[in-house]
Amino acid sequence: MKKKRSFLEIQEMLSSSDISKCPILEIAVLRNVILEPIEQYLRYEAFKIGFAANVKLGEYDNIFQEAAGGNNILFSKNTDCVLIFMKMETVSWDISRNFAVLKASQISDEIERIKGYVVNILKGIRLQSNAMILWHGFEYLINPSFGICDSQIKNGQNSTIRDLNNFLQTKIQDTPNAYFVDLNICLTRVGAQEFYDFRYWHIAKAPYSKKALQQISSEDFKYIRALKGKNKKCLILDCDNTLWGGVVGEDGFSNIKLGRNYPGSSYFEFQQEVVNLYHRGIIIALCSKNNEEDVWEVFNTHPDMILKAEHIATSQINWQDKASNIRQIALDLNIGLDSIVFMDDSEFEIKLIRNALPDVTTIHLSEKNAVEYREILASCGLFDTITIASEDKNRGVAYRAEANRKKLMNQIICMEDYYKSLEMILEINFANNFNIPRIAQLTQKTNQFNLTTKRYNDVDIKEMSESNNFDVISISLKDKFGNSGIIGVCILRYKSRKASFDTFLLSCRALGRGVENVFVVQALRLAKKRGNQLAIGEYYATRKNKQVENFYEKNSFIENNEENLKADGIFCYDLQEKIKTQPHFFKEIKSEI
Amino acid sequence: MKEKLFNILRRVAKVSIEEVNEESSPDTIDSWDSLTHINLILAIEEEFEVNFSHDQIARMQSFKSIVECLNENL
Repeated sequence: MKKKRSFLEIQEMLSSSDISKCPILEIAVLRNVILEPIEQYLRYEAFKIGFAANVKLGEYDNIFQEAAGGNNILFSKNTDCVLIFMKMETVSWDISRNFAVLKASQISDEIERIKGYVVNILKGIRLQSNAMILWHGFEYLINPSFGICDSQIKNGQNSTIRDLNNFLQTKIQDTPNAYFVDLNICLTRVGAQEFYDFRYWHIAKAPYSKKALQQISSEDFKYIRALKGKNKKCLILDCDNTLWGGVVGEDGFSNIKLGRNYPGSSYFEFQQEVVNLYHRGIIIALCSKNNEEDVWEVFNTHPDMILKAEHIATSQINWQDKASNIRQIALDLNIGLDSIVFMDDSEFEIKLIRNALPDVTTIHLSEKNAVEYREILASCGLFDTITIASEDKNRGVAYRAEANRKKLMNQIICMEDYYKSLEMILEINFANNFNIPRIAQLTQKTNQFNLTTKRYNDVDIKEMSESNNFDVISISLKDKFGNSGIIGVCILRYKSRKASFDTFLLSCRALGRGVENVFVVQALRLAKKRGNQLAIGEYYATRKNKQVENFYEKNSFIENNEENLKADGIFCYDLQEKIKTQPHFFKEIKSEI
Repeated sequence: MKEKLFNILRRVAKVSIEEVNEESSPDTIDSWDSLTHINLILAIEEEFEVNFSHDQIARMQSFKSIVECLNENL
């Protein structure tokens, strides 16, 4: 496992000049304990995903005042994330320290008081900001007041904590873009002896040790990473000494280590974890130096392979260098190098990729520590998403279908015939309660085919879809290979009879099929129907969206940079003229417009 | 040891090397407030691989007293 960096090392890194080039991430922290040293660890985690965090701490023990009473220094429209640390020791001495003395009625009074706090704090924050809320739940008492009896009685101290956490969780689930962070998981990972630093608790009311603060920061950033679309989408695996012990080409098929018992059990459990990721929508690919038939023989006939050929979206099994192979995999799957994690037991290969493809995240598995393989993958948090949309579960299938489509393309030369042979069915819908989470998710995750790269959460999308000044529409794709679900989003903003394309994006798994040309026509029709005279397309350049810089021109818009000087390109379409026709190679286009 | 300590103090309190000396304390360095103090102790504990007791931490309110406590633990 990786060695934790020291305070000074982190400080050094954060004062380097690289950080000033990063976009800002605004974090507000509400707390009823001293938590100041966390700032450094939060900024470090932010830097790791390419952000310069600006951490603002609220006043000590002012959670309620700042949330319910309002605080325009802490919250602004730029606030990305609000962290709440409400520790029981400060909020209720009775429940945390005086429990054994309390009557049942006093306990329930305290519980009601805390519940009232929670409700008003959540409401108060939402009045000021739509930012992501991360609420850190109450920790269990390590040594409850009734000792071992606490677990036997009905209303013990820890069951009171559990009930309050359940209440919190329910309220947070009812609050859009708010998440419950289970501090007890952080506590368990670190261990209570190391989680608390009682010296600082008494000297400064600072309860958490450095280890605890690092653990909490890294847990919080699993959420923030997903919010910012920095979570990884693809896992590329080596085979020998990664998926099984030994080298299949040398040791032979029957001698590799893989099975339910030691030593093969390390690899068996690791494979199960990989399959779990597959079912969470992560794309699994292989990159190994082997004879290809040896690898597939193991996949197809070894009785203890949990990972099956059907889980593998694509593979590069050959003797070429792995950097070229990983580049090829990224091209085949149409994903960016920075959404890839590569795992290999060879230090040589890991170093090669770190140098040649620094955007790829690498994890070095040391064969000597094969017993830890599963834990390393399960604890990395790199693939975490904040919601599990149903599309995610089908993603592995979708990417496999993509590979099959590419195969078909090799057989059919005429593009139009190819498109027709796909039997594509499109469906255009307005935003509704069912598709809003997926729409928000696409705005957060899509980088390449995204004209403006504006990120929105569920609340933003809902507000826009209900406003008369906006229309939010989505497009879904089905073809003979499978259902891709919602793969595109368009947000139109109306002002003085002009319709601006606030957002226009397409998931990378739907590219190269003419879907965008239908979608833009549908949007133009809608803009016209709403009584607009002009449609305005904006292009904002990022490192990744160069492929769409000419999109509007290709769709008969005319460049006109007078409308908005901030964008990198402005294109107009006169809606008083007849709107252009849609491509005709789709089997069916269903539209609510 | 003193050089190493000067260096830590300078970096944690974010002041120039000329501003730290053996007489340094929260009275001579403006940025040495109670929060800098927590970070300072944290960094010293890490860099010297020591663990101060609570009364030592409470006592360490100047460069001199830090050296004193550190000597007790080394």
